[in-house]
Amino acid sequence: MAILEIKDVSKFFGGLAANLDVTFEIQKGMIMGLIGPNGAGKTTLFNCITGYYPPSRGEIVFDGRRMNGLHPDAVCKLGMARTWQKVRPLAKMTVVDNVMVGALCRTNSLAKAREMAIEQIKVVHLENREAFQAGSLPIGERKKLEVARVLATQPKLLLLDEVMGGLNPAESDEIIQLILDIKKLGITQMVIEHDMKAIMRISDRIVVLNSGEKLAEGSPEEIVSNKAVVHAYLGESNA
Amino acid sequence: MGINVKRMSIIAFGLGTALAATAGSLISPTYYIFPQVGSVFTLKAFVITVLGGMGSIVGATLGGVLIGIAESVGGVYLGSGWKDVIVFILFLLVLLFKPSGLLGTSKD
Amino acid sequence: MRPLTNNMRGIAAIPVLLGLVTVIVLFLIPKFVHSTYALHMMILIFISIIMGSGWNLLGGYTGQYSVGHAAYFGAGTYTTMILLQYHHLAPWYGVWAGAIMAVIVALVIGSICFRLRGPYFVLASIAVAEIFRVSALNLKNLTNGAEGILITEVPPLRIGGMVITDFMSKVPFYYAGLVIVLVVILVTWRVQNSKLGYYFQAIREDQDAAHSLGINLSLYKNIALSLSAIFTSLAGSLYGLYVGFIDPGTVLGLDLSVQIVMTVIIGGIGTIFGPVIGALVLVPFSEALRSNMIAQALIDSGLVREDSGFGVFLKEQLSHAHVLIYGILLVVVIMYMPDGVMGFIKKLAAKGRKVEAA
Repeated sequence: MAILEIKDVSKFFGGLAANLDVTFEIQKGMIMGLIGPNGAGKTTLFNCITGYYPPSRGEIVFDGRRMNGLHPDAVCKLGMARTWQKVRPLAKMTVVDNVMVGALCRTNSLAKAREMAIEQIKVVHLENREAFQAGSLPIGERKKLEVARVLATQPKLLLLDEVMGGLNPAESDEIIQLILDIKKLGITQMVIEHDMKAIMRISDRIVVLNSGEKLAEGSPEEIVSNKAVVHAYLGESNA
Repeated sequence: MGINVKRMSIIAFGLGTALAATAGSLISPTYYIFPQVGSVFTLKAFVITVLGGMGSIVGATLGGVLIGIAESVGGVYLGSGWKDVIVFILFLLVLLFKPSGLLGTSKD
Repeated sequence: MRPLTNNMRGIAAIPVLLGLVTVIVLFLIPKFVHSTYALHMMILIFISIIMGSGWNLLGGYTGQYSVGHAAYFGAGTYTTMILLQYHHLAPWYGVWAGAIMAVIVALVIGSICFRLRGPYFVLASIAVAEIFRVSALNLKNLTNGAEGILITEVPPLRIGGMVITDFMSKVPFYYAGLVIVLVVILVTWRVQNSKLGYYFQAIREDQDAAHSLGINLSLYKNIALSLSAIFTSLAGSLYGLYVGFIDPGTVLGLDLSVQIVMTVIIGGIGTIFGPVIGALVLVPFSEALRSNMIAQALIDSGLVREDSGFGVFLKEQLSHAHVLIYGILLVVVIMYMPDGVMGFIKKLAAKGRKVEAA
């Protein structure tokens, strides 16, 4: 059953088409990789899907429900949550408090929220940082914090935007393991990533965007051997 | 990148102050002068800058002229007590609908 | 990287006991202290705490730095005074009418200003407050314009058949102020330790992140604003009834808005007792300056000769310099203690604990 359907989604900024007629589906429980050169429109698509701004055209259907025009807070409450390309910790609040903000989406009780938060902090292995101010954490831990926070909102679909960006190989491996653990919890994921090895390892299917349009879609093996995809990436690195 | 940021800030601040002082001396023959005379102009200066567009000198000039006209015209039709309100309402409209101003170089 | 401890959140026995003792002492002060000047000072401090705490909810906790809070102060006090003086409605009903009016004003202002962020929000809040002030000046039929409103009598407070007070002395205003201060502090404490508080702070830290975590920005900003407006309007109503006279420049002016912000910044933004400390610092200080106490003290101590040029200058001009000194104080605080006095204290406490652990 498709948990997310993207139908002919386009987003225009003035005359620029950041996304053009993008169409694909995500099945429940899978990990969908979203790749493409810089400026391909991946984050724009995320923003449209999560309500940060509405698509100019097309339909976004989540769990059978049309999402166009819904605000980010409604989107989150319906079970779709996202992390940010540039990490956004609630700097002056502690790690626990950060994750509690996520949990408070599902409960009004601070005590319950704290319980939920501590659980998610364990999932991302940040237990020893619970009382630390979020703004004082190094980048790797901030990324983990953001994942914990978003997990606390009990999402059905999790959108990860370059969650491995700026991490060293050891940290990236931790995140990869985390993503696989999240999959075991039954949460569907869509992952934007530049790290090809990581994407190949974790994705069940991959969508490739280029200049706002869908270039290709398929299994990791199909994508890797797709000439157009290779050309798009090689072409970019020649520039 | 080779630019002494602090010094530029200071120079900009100084130039701005000098210009304001010039403006002040220019209106003093026709305006009642007292220590708090500046406060009315503080907010108006902001309004003019935002209206004209931050970062644009032509914009500021244009803004100044527009505000001056708006004030006088408003004063004629609504009475001198309300002319400041015209300026503030104009300000809010600009902030809401075109925060980069008329000619601003917006970095948003 | 240092762990933050939750010393403000958990309730340890000692602070609570100290707090209770302080409250009892405050309630007993008018019995033993008869100096009207001291009571006057306390009432002004209370008013400052109330309006500072009001601002703190919106500015300190939710990160919406309004420099137009005089609009709520003025809405509250004008409503109360107009109803009392022209419609003979007793002030204990009037202050609530004032609070309702302030919330209406707040929701209108919010609908305009909350679309804006950062410095644009600040500028808009100033502009809106100024619109209210100029309107109050011009709508002479309603507000008596620049001449202001002077109340000629406050009806005595009767419960059952008994007269509790006739408002002739300062004491009833002292108790009214004290009670409101305690309520405001209690509410701030409850908000801080609730979902509301978490959501407010999330909005302050990163609005877009908060939005994506299921927080309805508009709803929570308006809740913060409404609470903020209610408290500020109560301060305004108390001020108007106490002083007996209000006019647009005093209760709707930019000076007042700036003073409210400064009180909280100096004391410590986003903390329960920040506004208290800010008020305790600024109110006596500005009163001392205004009444020439400092100039007189300098002269009496022999540091400055009364008939010297400097002495004369001090005596005549220092009282006017209170604004200048506010400004200097503000600059000093922002440069060296950006989290205000409370922030400074917290840092010292954390350092102390670090030394212990080492």
